[in-house]
Amino acid sequence: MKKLFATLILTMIILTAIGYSYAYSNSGIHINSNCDIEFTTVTTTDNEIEKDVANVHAQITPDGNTIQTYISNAYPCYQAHITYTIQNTGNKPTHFTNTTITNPNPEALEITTTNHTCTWLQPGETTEGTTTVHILQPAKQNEQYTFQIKIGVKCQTEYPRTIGFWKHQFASYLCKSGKPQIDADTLENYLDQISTSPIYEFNGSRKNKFQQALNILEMPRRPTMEDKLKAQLLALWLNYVAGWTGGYKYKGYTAEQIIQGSETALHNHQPNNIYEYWKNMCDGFNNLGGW
Amino acid sequence: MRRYRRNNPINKTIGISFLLLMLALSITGYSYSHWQETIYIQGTIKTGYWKLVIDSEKLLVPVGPGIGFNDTHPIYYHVTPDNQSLIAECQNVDYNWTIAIGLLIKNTGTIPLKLKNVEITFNITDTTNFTITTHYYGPFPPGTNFNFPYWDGIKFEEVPPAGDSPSPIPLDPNDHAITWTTINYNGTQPLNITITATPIDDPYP
Repeated sequence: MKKLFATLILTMIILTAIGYSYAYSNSGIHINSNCDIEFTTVTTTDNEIEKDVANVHAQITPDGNTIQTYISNAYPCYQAHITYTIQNTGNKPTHFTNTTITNPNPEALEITTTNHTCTWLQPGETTEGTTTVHILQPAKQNEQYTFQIKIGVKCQTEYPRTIGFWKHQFASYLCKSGKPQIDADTLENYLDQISTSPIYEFNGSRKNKFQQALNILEMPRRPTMEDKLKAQLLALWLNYVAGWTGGYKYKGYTAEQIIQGSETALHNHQPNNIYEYWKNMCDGFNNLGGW
Repeated sequence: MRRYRRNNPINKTIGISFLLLMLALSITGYSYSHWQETIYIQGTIKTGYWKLVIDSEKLLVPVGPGIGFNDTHPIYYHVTPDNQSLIAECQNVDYNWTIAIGLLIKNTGTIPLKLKNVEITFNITDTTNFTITTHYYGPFPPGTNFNFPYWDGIKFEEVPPAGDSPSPIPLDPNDHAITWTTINYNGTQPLNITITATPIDDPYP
């Protein structure tokens, strides 16, 4: 009886967890608003100058996920413009993955819209877009037409890792102690990609490559500012090739910009204070994840 | 002792429960890491319509002492049930025969339109001996008194009244326009003909 009861409780917990997780992934539940994106404003205009014949009206649904647009008394050549603002109301970077227009009557309606694909939105950041509805000549009188635009958004749930994280990965394979989170093939692939940089070169066996990387990350006993910069820059490179820097900015700089700045400084043998500046930039970016 | 432990049903229950818990946590983690959302822009478009109809009609002929036009040149006319055309059956059309067709035209739709012209067609192929002239008046928004001098009480001799406008005549919904078309025959052979007068529109804008 006790076993049955325990199993029942456990099953309930499991089902709750699955349901909760599913609901969360479909933005049905918001945990501390980690990942959320909403329409915040919408305005409409049209191409009528002399006479106000057709009307366009748009409103955002209370959940912020949909703009509903109504156009009445439309006629061929009429164009309505719906201008909207999308805001990242969560606290993780998000990016637009796709935009799909469903227009069952292309002979009567021409729908064009801003393509946000690949645009990143930082927490609190907004972006504007415009959808235009153009009524074409073959449109029938006294007819009702519909359209739908789907804008796919994905949240960046990954985050940059610190230099300590990356030291641990290489050290785990070299010292056989601790458990790495990234498999060796992937790590080696990361280093091969980073070898295209003019600053780093990883060669030899996998073990050699891992040792070379670990040496850079751990730095000599008495490191110069150049050593410190190279160590933080390598960690940033690793975050970059791992795809964990997308959507993040540190002091307004993307990972690519910081990498480029750091490499330029190293390549031009700039003074220590410049090295220190870029070292701090790399360090700051690597710590954006907060742990 | 070892065998007893392995087959202990409590251990089995714990094992299965542990596996289920792992599975649930995996799904939770996967789901979180794949957070994605779709936002929508939905639209409903209702088109309006435009319709030009004959709201009233007149067919004027010369009158006066000694002429007797209706007796010698009988005319029977009507507007089609859809109010789109006026059809006039004219008998004994002979030299210098002239009539005036007046149409009070209305846009009964929800979209503005333009009155382009009044199309006059005959049931005969050779129309070279007919001279057709149309004059356009308007637009007359609702509430405008267009009766004088364009419509009420107008006589054949007063056609066309002064104050016409070049076509096309823009007509907002519920606006009226008036057209006066004179048709003159200068042939010598008497004819029996059917004339159809149809207002033609141009869509907005």
